[in-house]
Amino acid sequence: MSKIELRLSRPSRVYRRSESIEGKIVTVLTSPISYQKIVITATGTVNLQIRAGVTGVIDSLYGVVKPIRILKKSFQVASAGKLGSGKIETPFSFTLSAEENDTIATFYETFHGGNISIQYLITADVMRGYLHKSLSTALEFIVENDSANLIMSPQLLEFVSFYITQDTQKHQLLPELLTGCFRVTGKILTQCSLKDPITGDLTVEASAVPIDSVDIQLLRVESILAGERFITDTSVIQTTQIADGDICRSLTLPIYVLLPRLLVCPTLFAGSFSIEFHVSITVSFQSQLSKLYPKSDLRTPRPWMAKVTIPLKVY
Amino acid sequence: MEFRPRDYEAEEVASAVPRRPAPDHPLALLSSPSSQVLPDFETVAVPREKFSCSNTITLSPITDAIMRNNKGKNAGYKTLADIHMEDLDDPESTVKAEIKVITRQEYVSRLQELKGEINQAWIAEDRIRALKLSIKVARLLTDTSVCQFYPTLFTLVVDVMDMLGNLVWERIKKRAEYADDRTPVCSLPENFTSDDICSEAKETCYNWFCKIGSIHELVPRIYLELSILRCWRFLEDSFVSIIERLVMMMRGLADPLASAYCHLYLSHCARSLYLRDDGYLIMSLGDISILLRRVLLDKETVGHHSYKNKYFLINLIKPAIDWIVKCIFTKGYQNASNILVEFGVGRDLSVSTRKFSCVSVVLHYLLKHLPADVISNNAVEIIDFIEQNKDMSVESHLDYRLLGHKLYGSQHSLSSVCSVMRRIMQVLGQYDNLNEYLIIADAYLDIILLYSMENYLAIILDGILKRAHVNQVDQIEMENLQSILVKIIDHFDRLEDVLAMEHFTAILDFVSGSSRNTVYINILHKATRAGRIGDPTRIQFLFEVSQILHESIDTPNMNDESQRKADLISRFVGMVNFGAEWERHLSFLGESRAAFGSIDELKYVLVHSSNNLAVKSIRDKKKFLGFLKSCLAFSEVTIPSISDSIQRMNLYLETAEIALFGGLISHSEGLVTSAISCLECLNMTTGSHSSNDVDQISSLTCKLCSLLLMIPGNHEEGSMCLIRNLIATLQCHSLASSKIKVQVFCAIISLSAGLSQKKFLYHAKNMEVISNDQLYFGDRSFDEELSSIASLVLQILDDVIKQEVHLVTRGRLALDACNCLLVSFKTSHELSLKCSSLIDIAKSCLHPKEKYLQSTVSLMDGLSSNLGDQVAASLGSTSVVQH
Repeated sequence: MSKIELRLSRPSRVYRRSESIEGKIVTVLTSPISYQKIVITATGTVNLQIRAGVTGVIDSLYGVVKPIRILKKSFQVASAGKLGSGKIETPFSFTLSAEENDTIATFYETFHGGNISIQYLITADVMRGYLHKSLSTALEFIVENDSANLIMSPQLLEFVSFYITQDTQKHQLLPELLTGCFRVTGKILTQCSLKDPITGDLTVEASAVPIDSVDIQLLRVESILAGERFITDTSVIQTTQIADGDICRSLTLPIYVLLPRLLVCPTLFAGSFSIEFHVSITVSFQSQLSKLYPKSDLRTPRPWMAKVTIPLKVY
Repeated sequence: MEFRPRDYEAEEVASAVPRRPAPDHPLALLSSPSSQVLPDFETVAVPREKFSCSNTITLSPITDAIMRNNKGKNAGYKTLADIHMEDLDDPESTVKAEIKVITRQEYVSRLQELKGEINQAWIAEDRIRALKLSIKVARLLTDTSVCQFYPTLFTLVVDVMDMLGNLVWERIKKRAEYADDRTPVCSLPENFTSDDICSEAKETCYNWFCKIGSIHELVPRIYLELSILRCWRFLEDSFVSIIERLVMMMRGLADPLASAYCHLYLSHCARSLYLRDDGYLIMSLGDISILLRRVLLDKETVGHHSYKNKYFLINLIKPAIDWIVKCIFTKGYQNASNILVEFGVGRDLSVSTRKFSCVSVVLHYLLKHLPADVISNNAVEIIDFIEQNKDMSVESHLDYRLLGHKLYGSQHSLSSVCSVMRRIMQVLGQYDNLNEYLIIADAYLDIILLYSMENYLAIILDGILKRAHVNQVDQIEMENLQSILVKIIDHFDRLEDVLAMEHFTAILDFVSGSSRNTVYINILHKATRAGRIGDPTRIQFLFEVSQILHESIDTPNMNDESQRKADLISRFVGMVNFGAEWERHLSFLGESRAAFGSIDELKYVLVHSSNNLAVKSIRDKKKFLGFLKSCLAFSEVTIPSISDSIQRMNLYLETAEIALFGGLISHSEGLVTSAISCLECLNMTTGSHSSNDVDQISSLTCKLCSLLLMIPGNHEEGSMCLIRNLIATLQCHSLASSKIKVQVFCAIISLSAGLSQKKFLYHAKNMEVISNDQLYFGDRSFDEELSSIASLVLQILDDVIKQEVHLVTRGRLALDACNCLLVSFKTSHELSLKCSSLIDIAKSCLHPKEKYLQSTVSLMDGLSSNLGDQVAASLGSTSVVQH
């Protein structure tokens, strides 16, 4: 059997804009073949898809919104020749840059979301004429923003103070929560680099009802322009518990959440789509009622929960 | 054959080694350094002995926890099922619909299985699965509902965590040291920095932290990050902020048990980072204190589980606190006194600027591990602090005890000790419970005694008396009381000082059972160390003490303890001395014999003492005879009750000597006869003797022979009846070893030779005892008797030697006999025939180059060439040397 695969110089497969991507096509053949040409193609696309159930029936009929191409680069590595049997490596290299005639100059970072995914691929094709099936393979590579840019920009450590009391909650609370007061305060970073954790702190100042758990949720908000309007979908990327049980009052707890790679990208507002993030802090109280809903989602407002949601700008 | 005539005086002059005075004492040089070393050693050894346990034992918290767990109420095999059954009684937990019941063994083996699975997954490169399983394991620690099992669970889980940590560490290290194609790039030094790490390895490492960071629950997230905490070394060079963040994160654990053990794991893992700063450990302690304070104050439930017993919870947490505090001090905490300040020691309580609230259990372990110097410098402040921070987690008297031990172990000035002790005595007065009072008093007694604070000692004794008389003293109190009494007895040089103390004897009455015995043993020990005991009231007291101890001796099975008691009683009886009142002494010996009849070694002491009295009375000369006879009678009556025949024979001989010394010939004769009869039953009863016993028997018999030289012959029963008696006795025992026989018969030949002399080598000291040389001087029948004995013995010797089976022994015995003959008899043809035949036997049995053989041959040659008496005499002495 003949085998073909792609190898990149970096095992992490992470590249930045205007960097050179080096790699090789490895063919392992049982018998020599002749080819017309070998072509390498680099593509980058934004795929927009509205999941069923997110919106109404009509919206879902639109189904796939047309993918947006952000990179297409194709070049010939070798012209007509012959590949011998055994293992043969064919090197190639190209620079990750927009083509001059291309209108879209932005390289979005690689991102795999629920509705939006930004993906970069390298494809290698060994063309063998009309009578033969061409050999081809594809490999994803990851594009990240130039970190040098970030170092240049001043570190903006912008903390936002928050407080959660019975008065800040819009949904219905347990009667004992309303009669006995509670007050949870703290501060949290609202601008955060992909590399850095979300930091902050949280203090339970008072609570008449024992606390069950305090959780930090990282939410992803994806919006897609479908037809005339934006369709927005919010999904939970990561839940991090920071308090387990009825913790001591007035004791400061740290908030420390590492951003999951690939699931988070810099906050993005493109014309036809946007990717934003929110941080939600949920305090659950101990209640007999909660035991009846053992698998309840933290996003649904429940009488034994109190929460605050804060937008987070990722860069 | 004729006996060789000897001129003992001339021989002594000829063979005496000239004596010269030595300029120095041979031991003088040695004694001076040792006397310098000794006191030093003693002062050091005492405290070390006391505190070595806490300082040197490096029990890991893990084993410690397991041990504690096993020691706990559910010792051994109480299963989780049982515990769950208990939970069922609790109305709250009946809500649980289904309770899965497994035994502890199953639980443990399941975890072992999981550990194996993780390892398998890792080897199969399925690291995500390994991580997922590890998270599952770590999640077990969230559940504290079966709190008795928690320490065991902790050790099991931590074991898995450590394994995962090592796997990750090795993997990243490999990535840093090897390229993708497995060629080595570099070798990381032990103290590498993050700059040495290539970006790929850093990437992998950061990835691990990201993966772990995405775990939802707090407990597994913290445990897993701790397990790979070491890997931060690949990414960063400063870890203080990381550790502090982790400590802060643990504040999210509301359950005190889970939190304490999590902190424990942190201190365990943080050691791999070699941090200089210990602030995080103090933070840990502070946070644990806060949680514990909450537990102590809170009447309601805390955490997931309502602890029916807060003590139980605190006991489970104690090992964790102990270990964390130990970590602080094993790293050589620089400012040990600062830690006290941080916990608020020595501050005005009204100012609430304390950084941490302190719980007495934390304080207790701080005291346990703080260096003694720091404690002694802040002793008064610490006492105040203990007073202010009393809570139920640790009883304050235990703190005081710890403080007392530490203070005793440190150096301090008299004035500071005085102020501390003044304070302590105030505190002590507040304790009404006897046991607590005793524990504290016991701890400070060392200091009181060291500085001779007699007034405090009196106060303490008074205090004990006041608290003790109301209620019955129980076992634990008794032990503490015992410790106090023993210390007091130990301290004073003379027992009189101890007994003279007010209340001492009154308190002594509270002690009973084994504690009383221990105290009494110490009293006796002290009493018998001082020298002679002469005061009649003291003797009476000690006699009663001995009687009580004697009652507690379990005669059929003597252990070390009983042996010690018996030794002490014997020593006491031996040391009693009434001075000139001999009759009183003798009657005391009689009383002792009646009271302590079952102790064997006491009887030796009794016989020795009575013999001693007899000798004293002989020396005194005035009207001694009656007393001497009663002493001898006492000995004579006492000896037969001794079970050991060899000892019995020894004592008979000793007494016989004294009787001879006192001029009581018939007594002496009777005693010698008894000794011979001892020999008789000795050989009868024992089949095989140890070599030591054999030597003892033969030397005793030789002594008997030498004694016989002095005892005048008896006209009625023949002059040699005792000797014949002895020969007959020995002959009876065909089983007795030939070595004994040959030695004894040689001794008899020597004795005969001695008896044949015109002037004996020695005489009885007493003028009334007429020596045989005067009694039978020139008596033909006496000489004939002697030669007949000699020929009889020679015959027996021949037989004995020939019967000996063992070749080498036979040869040596023949040489022994030959030497004896050569010295004892005049040179004659008959003698040389006899000796040649003996030497022939020896030659046939021994190696021809054997030195003993050669020297015997040369002796014989020398004598047969008849060089004269002088040579014979000098050779006689060489033959003695050969023996």
